[in-house]
Amino acid sequence: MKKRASVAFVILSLFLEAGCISFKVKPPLSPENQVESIQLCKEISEKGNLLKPLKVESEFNLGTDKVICLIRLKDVEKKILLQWKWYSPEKKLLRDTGDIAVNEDEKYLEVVTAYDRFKLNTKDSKEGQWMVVFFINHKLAGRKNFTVKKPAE
Amino acid sequence: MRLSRRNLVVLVFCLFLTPWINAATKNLLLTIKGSYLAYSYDFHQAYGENVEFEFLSYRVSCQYIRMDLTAQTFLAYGNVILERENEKLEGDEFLFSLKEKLGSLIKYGETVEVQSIGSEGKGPAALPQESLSEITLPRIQKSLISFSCRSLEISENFDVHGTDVTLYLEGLESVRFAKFKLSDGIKQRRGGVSLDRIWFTKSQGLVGRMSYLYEKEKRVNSLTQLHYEERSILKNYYGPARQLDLLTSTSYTLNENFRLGLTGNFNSSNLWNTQFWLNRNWSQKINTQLDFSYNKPINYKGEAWFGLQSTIDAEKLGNLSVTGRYEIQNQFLGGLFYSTTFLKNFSFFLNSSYSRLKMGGADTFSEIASGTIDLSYNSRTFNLATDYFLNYDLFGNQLLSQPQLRVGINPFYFYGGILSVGLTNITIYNHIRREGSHEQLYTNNTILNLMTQPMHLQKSLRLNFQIALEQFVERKGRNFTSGGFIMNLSQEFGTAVSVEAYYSLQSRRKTKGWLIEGTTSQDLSLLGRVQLSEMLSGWLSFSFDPKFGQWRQSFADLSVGIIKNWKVHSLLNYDFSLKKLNNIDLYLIREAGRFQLRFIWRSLSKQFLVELVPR
Repeated sequence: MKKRASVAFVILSLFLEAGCISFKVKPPLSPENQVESIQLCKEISEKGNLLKPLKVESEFNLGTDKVICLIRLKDVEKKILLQWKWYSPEKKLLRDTGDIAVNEDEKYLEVVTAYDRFKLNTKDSKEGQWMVVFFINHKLAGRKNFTVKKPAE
Repeated sequence: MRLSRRNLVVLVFCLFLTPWINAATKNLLLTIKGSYLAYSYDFHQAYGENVEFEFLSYRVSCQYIRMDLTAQTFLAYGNVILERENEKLEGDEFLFSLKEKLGSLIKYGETVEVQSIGSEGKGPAALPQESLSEITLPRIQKSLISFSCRSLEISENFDVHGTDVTLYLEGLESVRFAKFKLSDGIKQRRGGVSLDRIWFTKSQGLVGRMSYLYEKEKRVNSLTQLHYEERSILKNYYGPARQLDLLTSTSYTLNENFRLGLTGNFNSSNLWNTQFWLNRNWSQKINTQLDFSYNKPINYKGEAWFGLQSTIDAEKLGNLSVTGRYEIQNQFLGGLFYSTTFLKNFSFFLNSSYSRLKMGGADTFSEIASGTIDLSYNSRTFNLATDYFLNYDLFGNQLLSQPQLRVGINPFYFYGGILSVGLTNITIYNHIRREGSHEQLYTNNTILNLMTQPMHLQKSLRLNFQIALEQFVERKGRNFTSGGFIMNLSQEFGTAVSVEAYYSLQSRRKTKGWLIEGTTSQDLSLLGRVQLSEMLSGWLSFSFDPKFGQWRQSFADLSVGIIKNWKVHSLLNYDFSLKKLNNIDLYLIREAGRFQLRFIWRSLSKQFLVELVPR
């Protein structure tokens, strides 16, 4: 009996000493991240309460297409400020939505969908690698790159 | 309670060892602290919030971080601040590599401003970002095995340790650890002893497999495997009660042109062999291998062989290979192989061998010399080949010579490419000479093939068929005429459903003098496919014999996605003549990034298997 107890003590001491076993662990705080997805598409469906992308794309045609950047947020409890910025292949800011307030009543919303649209028929529209960045409360929350090319004839 | 002297020694040894264990984790590339950190074992990726860490000489803080530990790139974003003495940099994104020790700080203002960190004026780092964009918290939380913690430590070999760790299995909170190794790191430690599998089946009994691997990068590779089967626990089993197999193979690379190795196999029934080899590349085109092997068969005397093999790649002059093996009891094996292509369309092939081998345990030897010479010509319209095979049994004094002539017309197309026809003729002459007797035999085989390309009868209805005729003539007057017809009709219903029908007719007629006899067989098969979504797909087939009006077999395959990344896959086979299900295979599969977890039930062998398959 003594022998068994001493063996158990040795093993337990070893594990405790090595830090492999601990009975009190401080769990991390709950995650704050509200961004579930950021998608680029040409069209969206507005059926139902939430917006849904119809054709998720990463390539768009110059002159004819519009690019929609659709975001899906979850567990929104407080008022938040959303902002989209669109950049040309020369890294120049071409569109800034400014702050768009969401959930001003500060109710709990399980899911929020929102979008911004960029038309590719302006004089600044060019072929190349474009970028849209998305902010929540002035903090960068996501980025998407996309390609703009001439439509196939 | 009093510790025994032995246990005290063990404890002291362990206490002595612990600092070494801790020291092993001191070579850290990165320590990240945050309000919330999550790591996916499936994808070897991590995500964090309200994060602080040190990179180069900067203290970095940011709102979010994404980590791809396979690509070894990291993206910190949202209010990124880099601070060190008298310097404070701010940005929206900080993309960095631990391996390259450089990064890019990006700010999205009127323009996109990029500032290089750690690259010493070389400009912004071009780091791979594709995989980083797919890292999201929901993706990590949907992993089969994931962890949340308060800090992460990433070591030099990209092992990840976490503190205040909570383990999640399929999203369900499981046990907690103060400190836990979350990953195996990018360089998987393949070395060491591993228990590969233990299982029980009614046919094999208790089966266990172990292996030991030792690797030293680009120098030594050694794998030893131990297979054990315990059959004494089986009912009605009359073979050996147990079996042990030991297999070992070690190779050692001295330099890029010189390698040597040792292999050995042992079986508990007293069968064993071993081989030592040396391999030398004299140049990129000349290679020589020398070997010595000892083989101990059951109940016979052991054999010791010395071998030499040399290959020469002389490009336009052809490839030459010479092999020779000598055994100390006067056994011998020799071979010569040569092949070349000349004048664009001609190819020549020579293969000859000689063997002198003991017959069983007796002191008599068989001696056989054989060879093949092949000369062929290929053009766009036809091909022609002559082949001569010679086999001389020196012990039995028998000689077989077999010249062969093959002529073929390459398939040609007509009716706008819809129909194609091919014709092949093979003539073989056999001459067998035994002591005091000769035997001659010739055969001629003519094959005609007519087939169509798929014809669209309607937008979604396709038809194609194939007809083959074969005439076989033998010198002794046995003639066979064979014919076959295969038709395939395919109808698609949208993109999700399709039905295919196959009809085949085979007939073989034998004529000898006035007698005609033969057989005919038919088969009609129906196959339906369904691909409703990524979550639901399957097919079902039936086979019917129109000649006898009988159903034969049916096969079904169904794949159904259930929750998350789990799917059920089943395969079954029904035999109409026996009126029973022959076999059912059921799979429950979890796709988990770097690996796949499978639970398998096989009705035929009555086996239940659990497999963890690395991807």
